[in-house]
Amino acid sequence: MAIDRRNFIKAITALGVMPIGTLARADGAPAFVAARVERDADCSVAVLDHAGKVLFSESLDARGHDIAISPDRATAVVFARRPGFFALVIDLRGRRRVATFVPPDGRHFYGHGFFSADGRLLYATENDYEAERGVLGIYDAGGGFARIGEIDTHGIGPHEALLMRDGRTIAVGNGGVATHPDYDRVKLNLPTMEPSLVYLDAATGDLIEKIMLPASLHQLSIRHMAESTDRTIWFGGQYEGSESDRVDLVGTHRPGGDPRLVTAPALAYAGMRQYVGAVTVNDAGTRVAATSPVGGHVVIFDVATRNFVESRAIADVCGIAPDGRDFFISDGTGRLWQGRNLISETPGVAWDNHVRKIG
Amino acid sequence: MIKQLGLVVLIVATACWPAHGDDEGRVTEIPAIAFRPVVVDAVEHFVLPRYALLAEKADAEVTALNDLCWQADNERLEAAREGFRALVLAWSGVEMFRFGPVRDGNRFERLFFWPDPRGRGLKQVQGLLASRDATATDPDSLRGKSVAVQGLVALEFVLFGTGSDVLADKDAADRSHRCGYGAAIAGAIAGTARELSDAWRGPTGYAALMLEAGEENPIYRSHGEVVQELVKSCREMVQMDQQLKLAFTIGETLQDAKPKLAPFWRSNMTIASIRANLASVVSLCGAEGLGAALPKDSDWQAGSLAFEIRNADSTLANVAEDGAPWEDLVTEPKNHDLLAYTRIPLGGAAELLEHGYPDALGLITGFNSLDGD
Repeated sequence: MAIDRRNFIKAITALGVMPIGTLARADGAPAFVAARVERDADCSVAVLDHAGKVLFSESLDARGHDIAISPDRATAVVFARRPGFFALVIDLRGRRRVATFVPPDGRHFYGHGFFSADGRLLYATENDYEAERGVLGIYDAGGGFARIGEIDTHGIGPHEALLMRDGRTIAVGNGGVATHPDYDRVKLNLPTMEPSLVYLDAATGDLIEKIMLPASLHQLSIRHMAESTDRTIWFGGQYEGSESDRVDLVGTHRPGGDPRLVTAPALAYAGMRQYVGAVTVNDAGTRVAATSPVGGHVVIFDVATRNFVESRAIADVCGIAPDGRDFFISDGTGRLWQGRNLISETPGVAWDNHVRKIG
Repeated sequence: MIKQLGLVVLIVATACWPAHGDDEGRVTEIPAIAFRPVVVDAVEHFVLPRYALLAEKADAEVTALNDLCWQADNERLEAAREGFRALVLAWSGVEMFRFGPVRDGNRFERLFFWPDPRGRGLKQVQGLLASRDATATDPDSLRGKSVAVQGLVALEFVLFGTGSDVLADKDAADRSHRCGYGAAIAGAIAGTARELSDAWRGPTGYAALMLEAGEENPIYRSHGEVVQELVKSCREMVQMDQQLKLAFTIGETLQDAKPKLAPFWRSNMTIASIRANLASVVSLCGAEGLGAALPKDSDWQAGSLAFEIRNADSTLANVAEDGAPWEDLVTEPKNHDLLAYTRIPLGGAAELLEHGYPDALGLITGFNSLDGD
């Protein structure tokens, strides 16, 4: 069915926005972690309860990005935004910061990471910028987060990486875009970029599989991803090619298979302005959501059918985490959403790109 | 209804962005601004003529190179070098644009492959010169090669880099290939510049897309979004000049200076090109340009923008006055201090474009959407 822009907007509008707090549970238990900036200057990481109430926060020296949660849900590590040079460790039970650590000389964090299945190791996506090579730095979570090694991501610009549900396979989105901290965030290789989705053996660091999109899509930077319960990686891309190209921004891949882009009404992807900032799967495993702060839209797909379900207009939206059958959403204008319900708004606060569910 | 929805979204997004609300976080009143007139003016009197000028200067450089290749002498070499300088200035007038046709087919990088921290482009250019690869002397086949070997930085090396004097020596063995490669680069630049100029024009051109912003437009839903794009271009240009071309290359101290990482040092056009960048920012975003859309109580910002940039520009002019090579003058203490000083006015200009203009114009500059990740 063709959906024109007018009907599309009508459909979104018809969904409405319910009053603040109708569904939120204020139980005071840590539920989500997200970085934020207050008053355009003060950076911090906040731990929220299910209703979006800030339980406690810790200041950061610069903008944070994503957060890794330990399997026992006791520890959160927030990574600095790229080019990032610090990570902060939070004790979620003691509700306080317990450590900071930094990447070694010649490396910077990309802003994402994850714990091993047993919680003993922390992996962080890093830039070996002089060699223009992506690595996963490995840190000893039980030993003061000392860096004990690194493994190659077999691509440039690893961004989000995750441990798959099997506990043994690491999936990495190599965005393909070369940067160097001397040039801040300037993209140095757009004409020749080669993004990839890579699977690594967590035990050995060996490359299991490297997936590349067709050459015509070499400028679709694979940055963010989530795994659905059927062992499928759903990834979201950021397109660096022509603005007038119409590109499917979300794709899927199951290890051993071929990557497939997910179709959606043209206006749904047009509303994302060629940019996906975060991807997640709901707790029920039935829906995948991708956000676009550039276009101000959340686009939701059905996991089983791969069909487009709906698009929600939220200005400057980016952070998204599973929340039952729907999603917990944050935006750059200080708002938090539980599904379609606005549950909190804090003027002067800008929620950073990611929000992570504890557990 | 659609217009009302658009307004609601605009107010919501604007009010909650920290820089927009007042101290109590109240909603900022959005002024009713007619953006279309300044968009029309910017497109017709800035963008289109400047891309046309780029194509014109590139064509002239093709003629100059062909003339030099036909007959090698100092006079013709100097004419080709002078043509290159004019071409750099024309490019610097549109360098701020990283959207639209220049993003298609890697045209930006084809014209200007910079920064290149590893010197990959230089190695490729030197390789082509040494190999005497005949496909490098034909503009069409050259355009099929790496973007790094077919733009201004490559042409600069051919005309000003090590060994370039052979271009004036009709008996030199290397002359013919080097000159042929230079002419092919000029031809490739001219081809790309013509494509750019053409892609902006006509009923399906990018200018029409900007002028016809609206609900059905695939890229710009309003003329306010077009203004936002153009203001962003001005801001990014100022920041690029301030942070990468100046602060990074001159370093914190004399000892940290890396002048050869700046663009166009071989032709000693570094400062001239930065000044041309800044002049274009004032033209596009100053009082005679997009600044005309500022509400009365904020129109002082256009004057402040021009003041800050004039301040930086006169400092740069002062440094460049005696014509000393960029790589020498950067390591002279007085000049280093003056160049370091430009950070202050350029920082002020960038601040106006990043917060002042968008606030006054009611434009959305999202926190997470601003520079993405």
